[in-house]
Amino acid sequence: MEPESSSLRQCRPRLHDGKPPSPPPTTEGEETGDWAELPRDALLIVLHKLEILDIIFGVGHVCHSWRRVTQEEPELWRRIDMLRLAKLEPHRYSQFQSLAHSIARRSAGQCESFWAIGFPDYYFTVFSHGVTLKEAIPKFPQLEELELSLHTDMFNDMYEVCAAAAEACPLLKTLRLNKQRYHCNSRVEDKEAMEIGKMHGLRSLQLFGNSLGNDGLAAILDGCPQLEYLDVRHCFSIRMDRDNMQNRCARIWTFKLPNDPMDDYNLPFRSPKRWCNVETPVRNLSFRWDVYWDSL
Amino acid sequence: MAAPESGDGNNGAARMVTLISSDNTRFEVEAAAASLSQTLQLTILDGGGGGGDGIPLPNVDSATLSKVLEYCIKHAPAAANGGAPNATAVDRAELERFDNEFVNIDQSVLYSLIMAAHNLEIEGLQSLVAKKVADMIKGKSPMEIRRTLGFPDPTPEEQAEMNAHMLEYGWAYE
Repeated sequence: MEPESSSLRQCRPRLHDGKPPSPPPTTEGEETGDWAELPRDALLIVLHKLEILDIIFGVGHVCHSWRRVTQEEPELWRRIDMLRLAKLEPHRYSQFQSLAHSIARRSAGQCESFWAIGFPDYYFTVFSHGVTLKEAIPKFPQLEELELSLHTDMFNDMYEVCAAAAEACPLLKTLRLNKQRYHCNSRVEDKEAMEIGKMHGLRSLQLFGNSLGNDGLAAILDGCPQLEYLDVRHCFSIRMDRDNMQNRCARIWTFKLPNDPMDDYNLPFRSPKRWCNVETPVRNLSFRWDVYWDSL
Repeated sequence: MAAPESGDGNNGAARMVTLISSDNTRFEVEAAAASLSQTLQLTILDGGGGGGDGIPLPNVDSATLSKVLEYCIKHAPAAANGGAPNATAVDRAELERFDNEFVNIDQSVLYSLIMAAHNLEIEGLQSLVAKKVADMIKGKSPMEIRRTLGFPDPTPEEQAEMNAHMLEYGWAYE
């Protein structure tokens, strides 16, 4: 190996002064480098090294030919990470409506993962071409991890989504279903918990701010014998001092109680709310179904 | 051990081939280095490029070809070892240092290089130059990207579209 590599170093390219150089056959335009004419494959290699936000806001608007390439390549839209736009203000939502539609069109059903904070619920519906979450879940029977946090539950059917997951995803091991906050005045609501109790393979469950009560918690404990991690912080409808709850939870390796500190929690959250009949994010939106359907 | 002056493909380990740029400059390199190009590989395997024949490359000028071959010669030993699984950390660091320095070039050269890497299908070089371009344009607005890469002035239509875009989404760059 040694002599070979040394011989390679010796044979740097050498100029042969044989024939006189003839004028290059290429045109002047190509000489100066017309980036708009960059071959599609060459541009794609560049695009795959960029983040999706750079494509949405930058590269996709540089010139017509570059735009066409970004629009016609669903591969680019597989992983859509919008987390850097976390400071999204509610008054930008309407702008993002049209943006979401165009992203959905470009990804052409190839989108495998979508991360965003502060986006309205209908994003998922837009991405899945009108299929709601509960209709989409059964299409992922291999699902092991599911997070539906900060969902504003626009269609009031989160328990049905849980039911769909419990039935269709037997491999599900991790579920995070965190609310933005606990609503003090809402009744004990065990519908979601009852469905979660049917996810028999669950190992890890996080339910911040859920309104489940002791019956719901009991259903989860009984239905998920392999549960190792359970986080019910801010689930203030749970009464640990009743129903022998302390003992029943003793087998959980890591158990976060309703009043436990929030220091290791990585999502935004708010303190418990007393009256919840005003100020739900959905009300701020003017979601136009006519625009939505036209764009699909 | 001296490399043969003009390889005919059969005398020793270091077989040489001749490449001819668009401006008729002849370059003589080891076949192993030139074979980093998928485009050239088959021709070379078929015995082409040896002796006085040479392989004409009408799309690549001499300045660019010289740069491309500089890359190929540096990367050929690692490529010959199948991506060099047993390369030492020092070797890898040296290649990395070379790569960083290699793409420290003017944007006009960058364009010829990305075109040459594309035409000659040199995977590693394509990736290296693309990374450089991506680093240059990330986080930039459409107009800044055009300026950075040296696009011609936008047509009034393109300018209007970019203005409208900035009006709507300018806040995304804040």
